[in-house]
Amino acid sequence: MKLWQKLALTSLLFVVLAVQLTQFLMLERNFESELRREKDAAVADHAAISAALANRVDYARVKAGRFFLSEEETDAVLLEAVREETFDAPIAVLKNGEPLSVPAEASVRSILEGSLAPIGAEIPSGGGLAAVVSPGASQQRAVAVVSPLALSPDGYRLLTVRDVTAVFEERSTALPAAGRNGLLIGCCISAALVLLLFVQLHPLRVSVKTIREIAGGNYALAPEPKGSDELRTLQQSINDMAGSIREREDRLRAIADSRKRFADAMAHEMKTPLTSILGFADILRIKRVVSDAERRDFASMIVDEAKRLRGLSAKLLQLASTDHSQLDLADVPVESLFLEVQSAMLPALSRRGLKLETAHQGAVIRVDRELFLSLLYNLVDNAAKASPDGATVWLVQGAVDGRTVLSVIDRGIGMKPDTVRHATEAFYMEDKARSRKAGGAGLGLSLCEDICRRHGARLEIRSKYKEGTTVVIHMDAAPKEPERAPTSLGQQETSSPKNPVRAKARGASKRKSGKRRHSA
Amino acid sequence: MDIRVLIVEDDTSIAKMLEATLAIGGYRYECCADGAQAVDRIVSGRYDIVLLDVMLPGKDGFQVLDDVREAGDRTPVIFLTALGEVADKVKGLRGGAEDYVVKPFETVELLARMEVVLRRVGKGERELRYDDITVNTEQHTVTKGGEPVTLTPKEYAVLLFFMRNLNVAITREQLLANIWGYNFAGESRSVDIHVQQVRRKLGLKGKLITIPKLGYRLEK
Repeated sequence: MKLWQKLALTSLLFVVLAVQLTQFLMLERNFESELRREKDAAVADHAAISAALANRVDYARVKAGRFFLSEEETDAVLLEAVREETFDAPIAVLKNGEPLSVPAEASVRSILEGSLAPIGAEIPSGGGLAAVVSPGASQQRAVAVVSPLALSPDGYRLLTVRDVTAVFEERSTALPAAGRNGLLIGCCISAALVLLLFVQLHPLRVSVKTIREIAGGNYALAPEPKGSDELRTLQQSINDMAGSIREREDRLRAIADSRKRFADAMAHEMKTPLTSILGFADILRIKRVVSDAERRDFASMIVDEAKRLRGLSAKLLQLASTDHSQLDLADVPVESLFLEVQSAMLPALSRRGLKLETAHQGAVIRVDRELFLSLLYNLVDNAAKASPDGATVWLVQGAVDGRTVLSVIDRGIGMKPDTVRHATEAFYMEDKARSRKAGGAGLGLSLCEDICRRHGARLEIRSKYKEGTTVVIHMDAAPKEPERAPTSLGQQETSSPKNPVRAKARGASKRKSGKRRHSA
Repeated sequence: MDIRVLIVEDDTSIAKMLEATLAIGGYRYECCADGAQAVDRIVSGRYDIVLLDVMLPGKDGFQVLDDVREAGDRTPVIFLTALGEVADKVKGLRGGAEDYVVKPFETVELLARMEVVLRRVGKGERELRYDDITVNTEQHTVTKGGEPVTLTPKEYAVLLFFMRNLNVAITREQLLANIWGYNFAGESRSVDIHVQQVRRKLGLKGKLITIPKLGYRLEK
C-alpha cells in the first residue's frame, strides 16, 4: 500500500470519528437544554395553575364570609374549577393521594395509574417534584409536575402534565441524520486531504522516477528540487549522487578508452616485428632455392626484428614494474646524478659529435637513484635523438618557487602542439619510421611520466616545432601516489611491498642504458 | 599474364618481406610507404591488386581506400592489418576491400588469398601448364599429353594449389586450410591420400616430392 493511500485511509477514519463524536455531543447538549427549558415551562405553568386554584378557593371563602371552608366545600370549589376552567396544561387535583375527579386526559390518567401516585404522596408540603415520565404509548414522553396546593385544610396536591414527546422525537430523528452528515463531511475532508497529500508528495514521485532512471543508467536527469524541505533535500541528494556516479563512470570510461588505445597500440607494435619474422622465416622454410645473399638478408632481418621485439618487451616489463615496485628513496645530490648520466651517455653522444652540458645549484633530491637515473637517461636520449649531429644537449638543475626543477634542453627538431599532447601516451610516435630507425618503440616518455609520478614529480614538455624541446621535471609538484591513469600495463591495485620483478627491471634498465652507449 | 601489385606498407622490414613473398608468387611489384602517395599511384590504374597496410603515417589505410573508391577506381585491395578485431574487419570489407589478412601471416596464406581475389575479379590465370599437363580453370578440365585425366574435385583443387605454388613447400595444414576449409575436422591423413592420388594419376613421381617434417613441393 502506498504512503499516500495509508495516510488517506487513516485520516479518513480519524476525521469521521471526530466529526461523529462532535455531532453526538452537540446533539446531546442541545437536547438537554431543550428538556430543561420544557421542564421550566412546565413548572411555570404549574405555578400559575396552582395560584389560580388557590385564588378560587380564597374567593369562595370570602364570598361565604368565613375564615375557613369545610373540607366538602373546598372539594366542591376545586371540582367546579377543574370542570369549568380551561388550563394551559392537563391537570389533576389529588386529595390525600387520590384524585378528586377522574381527569379527562388520557395522559394524566395513565400517569395517575402509573408510577407517580406513590411519588406524589411522598412530596413534602411546600415542596414540589418535576419528572420526565412516559405515560401510555412507549414513544410518548411528558414532564409531570406535582406540588401541594397552599390551602387549608392540608392534603391537596396538584398534578400538571406537559407533553415533551416532540423533544425526544427530535433527538431520535436528528441522531441518524447527524451521522450521515458527519460521514459525508468526513469523506469530503478526507478527499481534500488525499488531494493535498497527492500534490505534496509529487516531488517524492519525481525522486523515485529519477532513481529508476539512474538505475537504468541514465544519469543526465536532474530535476529541479521542489516541495517541502525534506523532499527538496532528498532530490538534491539524488542529483548529487547521480552527478558523482556519472563523474566516476566518465572516469572509468576514460580509463577503459586509454587501456584500449594502449592494447591496440601494443598489438600493433608487437605484430609488426612478428610479421617480418614470421614472413622471412617462412620464406626461408618453403622456398626451394635461396641464394646466399637472400639467406643473409632474410636472416639479418629476422635478427633485427627479433631485437626490436626484445627491446619492446624489456620496455613493457619496465613500464609494468615501475608501477608496482617499491621505491628505494634516498637523499641524492643532483651533482652525482648528473655526473653519472654524463659518464654513461658521453661515449654514445660523442659518436655523433653531440655534447652534454650540465649545470646545477647543488640541490639534494629525495629519489630512487636507479629509477631516477633511468628517467634522466631516457630524457637525454630523447633529446639526443631529436638533435642534429654536433649539437648540444643541456641538463640543468634550477629552482622555481623554492622547488627544485630539472630540465633537459635540446635545440633539435621539436614537436608540434598536437604531438606534445600525446607525447606521454604509450606507443605514441610522431613519425613511426624515424622513431624506429632511432631505436624507439614509443614507450620512453610514457615510462618517464610514470617514474615522475611515482616520485611525486610532474613532467612538463615545452616544445616548438623545428626549434627544440625542453622537458622539465618539477619535483614535489604532485601528490606522491595519485590515482593512476592507466597509460601503462599496471593495474590499479597497489602491489605487494616485495616485488620480485623490481630487481630484474632495474637490471634491465641498466642494461638498456648500457646498450644505448653503443647504439646511439 | 603479368600481375602488377602495389605494396603500401611503411615498415621497411615488412615491405621487404612482402617483396620476397610476391617474388615467390611470380608477381611484379612496387612499394609505397605513404598513404597520400598511395592514393595517386592506385588511381593511376597501373596495378591489378593492392596490398594495403592499415596503420600508415599521414593517411591510414581506411582513408586511402575511401579516397581511391571516391575517385572511381575499382582496383581490388587486400588489407594487411594488425588489428584483429571483428569491428575493424567489417569496416575494411564494407569500405570496399576485397579481403583482409591479419598480421602476422604465412607466405602461402597471403599468396592464396591474392589468388582468390584475382580470380574473383577475372584476373586469375585461365590456363596453367606444367610440363605436358594443362589445367583449364574455367572448364575445370585437366589434360596430360592431350589426353583428359579424370580427377575428383578435391584432387583437382590439390593439383591446382601445387601448380599455383611451384617450387614452394606446402604444409599439410595449408592444404587443409585452403582446400578443405579452416573448420575441417578431418585428419591430415586424407591430405596425404589425395596427394598420392594426384601424383599417381598425373605421373608426377619425382616431381611432386615429399619434404620430411614439412609437407610437399611441386618442383620445376
